[in-house]
Amino acid sequence: MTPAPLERLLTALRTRLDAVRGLVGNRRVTDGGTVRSRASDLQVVAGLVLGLYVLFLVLSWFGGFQDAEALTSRLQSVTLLALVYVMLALALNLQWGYAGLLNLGVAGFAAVGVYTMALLSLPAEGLGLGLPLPVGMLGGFLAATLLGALAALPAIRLRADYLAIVTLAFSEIIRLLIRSRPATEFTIAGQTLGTGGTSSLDLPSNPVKRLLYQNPDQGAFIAVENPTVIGDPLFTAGEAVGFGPSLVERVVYTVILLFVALLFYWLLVRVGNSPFGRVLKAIREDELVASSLGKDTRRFKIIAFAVGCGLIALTGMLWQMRAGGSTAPATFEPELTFFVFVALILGGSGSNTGSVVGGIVFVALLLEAPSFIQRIVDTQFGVPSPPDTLFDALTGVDPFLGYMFADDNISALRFVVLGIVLVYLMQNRPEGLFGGRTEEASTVDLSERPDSTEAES
Amino acid sequence: MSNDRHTAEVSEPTADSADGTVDRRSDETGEQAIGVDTDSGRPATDGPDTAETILAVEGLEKSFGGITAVDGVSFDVERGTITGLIGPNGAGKSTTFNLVTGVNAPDAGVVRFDGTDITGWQPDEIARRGLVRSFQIARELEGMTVIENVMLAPPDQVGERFWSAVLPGLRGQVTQQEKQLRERAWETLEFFELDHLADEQAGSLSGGQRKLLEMARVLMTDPEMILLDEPMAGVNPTLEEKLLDRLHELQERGYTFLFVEHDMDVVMNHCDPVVVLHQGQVLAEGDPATVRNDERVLEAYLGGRGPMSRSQGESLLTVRGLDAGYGSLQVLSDIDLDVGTGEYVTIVGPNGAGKSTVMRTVFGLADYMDGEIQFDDETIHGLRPDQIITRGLNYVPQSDNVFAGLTVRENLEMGAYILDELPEKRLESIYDRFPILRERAGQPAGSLSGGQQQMLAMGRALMLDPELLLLDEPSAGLAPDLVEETLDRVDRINDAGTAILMVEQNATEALRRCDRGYVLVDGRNRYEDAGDTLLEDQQVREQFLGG
Repeated sequence: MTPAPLERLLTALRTRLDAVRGLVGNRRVTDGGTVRSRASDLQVVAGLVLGLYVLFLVLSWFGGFQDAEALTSRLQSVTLLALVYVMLALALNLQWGYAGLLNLGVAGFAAVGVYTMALLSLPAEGLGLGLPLPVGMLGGFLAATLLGALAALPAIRLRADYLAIVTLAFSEIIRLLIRSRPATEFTIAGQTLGTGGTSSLDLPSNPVKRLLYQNPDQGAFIAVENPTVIGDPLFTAGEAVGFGPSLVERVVYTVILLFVALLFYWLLVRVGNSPFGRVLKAIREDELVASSLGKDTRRFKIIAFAVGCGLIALTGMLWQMRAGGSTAPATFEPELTFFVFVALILGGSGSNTGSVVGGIVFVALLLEAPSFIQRIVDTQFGVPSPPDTLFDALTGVDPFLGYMFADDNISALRFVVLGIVLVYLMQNRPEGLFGGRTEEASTVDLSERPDSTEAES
Repeated sequence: MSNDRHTAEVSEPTADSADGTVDRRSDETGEQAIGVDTDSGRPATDGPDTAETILAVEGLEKSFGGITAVDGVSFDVERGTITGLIGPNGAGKSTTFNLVTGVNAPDAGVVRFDGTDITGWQPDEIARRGLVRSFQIARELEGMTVIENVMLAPPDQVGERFWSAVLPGLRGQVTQQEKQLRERAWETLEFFELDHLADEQAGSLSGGQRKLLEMARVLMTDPEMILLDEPMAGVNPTLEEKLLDRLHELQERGYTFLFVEHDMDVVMNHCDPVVVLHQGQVLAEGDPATVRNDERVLEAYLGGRGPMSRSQGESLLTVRGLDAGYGSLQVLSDIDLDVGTGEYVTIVGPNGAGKSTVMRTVFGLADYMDGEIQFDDETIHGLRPDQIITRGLNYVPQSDNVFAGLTVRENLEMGAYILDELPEKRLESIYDRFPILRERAGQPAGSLSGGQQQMLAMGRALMLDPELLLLDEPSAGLAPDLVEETLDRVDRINDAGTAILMVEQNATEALRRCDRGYVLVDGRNRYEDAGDTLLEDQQVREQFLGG
């Protein structure tokens, strides 16, 4: 890949972003001392999302999905995954972007949330305790928060790399524990519990079902006969545009997730743009300075880390519970943590808006686009079967590029592209797409000068 | 932590009560403990009326590895004074600062602030109690804007509580406080003439501006007492005047200052009283005039005396018009220097003159800016240290100069790392020169005493049989008898034909032994002559204690 077109693309994107910079609350943003125009970050994100939707519509179209239901279904699945990564990146940004706490256990904390929730809320006759879902989710959130604080406690007094080691090990311990034979199914006080081991575990039916069906636990085909007051008009509307009930359900779930993601963003912007966020930044920059100015840095670090872990767990639960949700330990391999880091670095660690952009761009262009492109190659050129010998490969008439997109090659190729993008970013824009900017950590605009002093200067 | 033990055993202001706790060199206490001057040293002109002790340091001790950095330091600071803490390099000033502010925990001794025993407290607890410090090398939070840096400092901010920062009902109160703080922050920035940089990243400030930012930040914490570690280093003279005026202004408002400074003029004109540290102990204490005329202080800065001389061969190292520094900070300007084959050359000069930087630049460790460095008729500036050692030049850093976790033998082997095969003969000859190293060959280097570590560092540098050895303060942190021994060892290395370029705090001793000496002041050559001639020069002597 030649860097020039990519550079040009990035420059173009950057100029575009620069033109419409500024945070929602009319925050002034400076970059290299120049004051940028005030505009909404929301516009940037909206523009980006719109552009990506157009791209994916085109890709799906040429991939052979040409009816409304198929197109929507494909967009929905990309959107949902993007929202998940946005939320994970936002939570990690609190820990790493703000406080400089290197959490290599993102996958583990998500797993803690998901499996705690499952244990608490699965039916009592199954592998759970049969508690209501909100209790289960609260339990998952609290378990990850507490474990986060606990894992951080010994490591947080030491140098940053110890925390990284501890969390990475923690994450793997959790995953292996879930897979282990004793945890697969065990009985405590007559109650059978379990994680389902290496196989997948069906999660409690997601709350959207409750919203749409009167009898959510019945199969979808029967349940749809008895929709709720909310479900009824939605299903009718869906039918009008040719959407089946399962797609309606998934779209509703995605929209709800969008609101949760907005809530995340709102929460983390508030945390960041406050004296609390200011101390976190100071800890990231130089902890000794922060403590020499009287800040109890351990308290700040533990709170930031625990809250981040809780949010990661919450995201994990909402992700795995998506329509017809089931989960498996394989979801929580360390590569998940790595992906979230890539998303955060891509967007710009330390910036909340950057985390959002990073999550979206990462999922759309790096995780999902390759398989869309593969699909196009498949449908337009037919699947070229890989050559058997080197001679065939070099003399064959099949488009050579085709092999790269054939069969399983695409997932391997994805990692190659991921690597190239990371190397490129580290070399040319280590601060990420949004990292060069300043999101001042205060509830007020710090550049606004009090009148009395303005007169003097 | 271990406060109980310390309070029980230390009550006298002198160091004697702490006997036996650490490996202190008892032979020097007899002569130096008398140095504690009990003169209250109350400011004659602008001090407060009551002499109330705000900070009391008693019998403070700290050693790192085999090196005793602070060895029973006791002094009091009275409320409302600007107390100066001075001493030659390695006297223990910065360590004392770190012990008082909780960055390091003392091995023994008590620190009392405003009536409270704060020994062993965490830095943040001490800061909240009202004792706040600045750092010798400004530690701005570079990824934050200047005004964010300043806004960070005020204590007890409502918005530092997580829920207040987040919950809608409570955030109003945070915003209100933020507005008040913002006003104060702008005023403070204006005073320090940083207001035009408020929105800049702190990392883009110049060295002097960083110092100012650091002071601004410290002031925003509403301290009772401020510890300043070399606040004037890198600040231009106009600004320095202004800062000093501000210090006096703040002093009149009731603030107390303790500051470490190497600019003798600043100390003598603005501090009262002055505490002089030497080799980890208080050498003298009193008003500037008393301290200045104290013969022991002069000696501490210059060392002992006695003549000797050697001759010079052909030119080996030639430095012409050298400018160098660190990053954008220029430390050296227009340095000229020569070392002949087999010659023994010493660089002396007051603290902060740039002596070590000369060494580091020659060895490729500091940032070369302009000029010329030639070794053996080959230009070596711009080369990396690993390239430079292959040319027959080696360097022994000032302290922390052995691999503590490796054994003595492994350390020596590291010295010959670039060779494919270990030069066994060379190793043997180094063992012969320093027999103690053979004895301890299998021990970790970290377990050696300070003097032995220095020996090991020299031995390691000699593994490649260099033509020129750069020695950065080989006697730093060593007891007087060991200083003698170490410098004798340097003589012997030189006698064996290796040229020496040495920076040494013990100026008199170094000048007495060397062939030629250079006096460096403020990063420039000031004098160059035979060692003895420099030694007798009254002007040279004055350079060390301010003119």
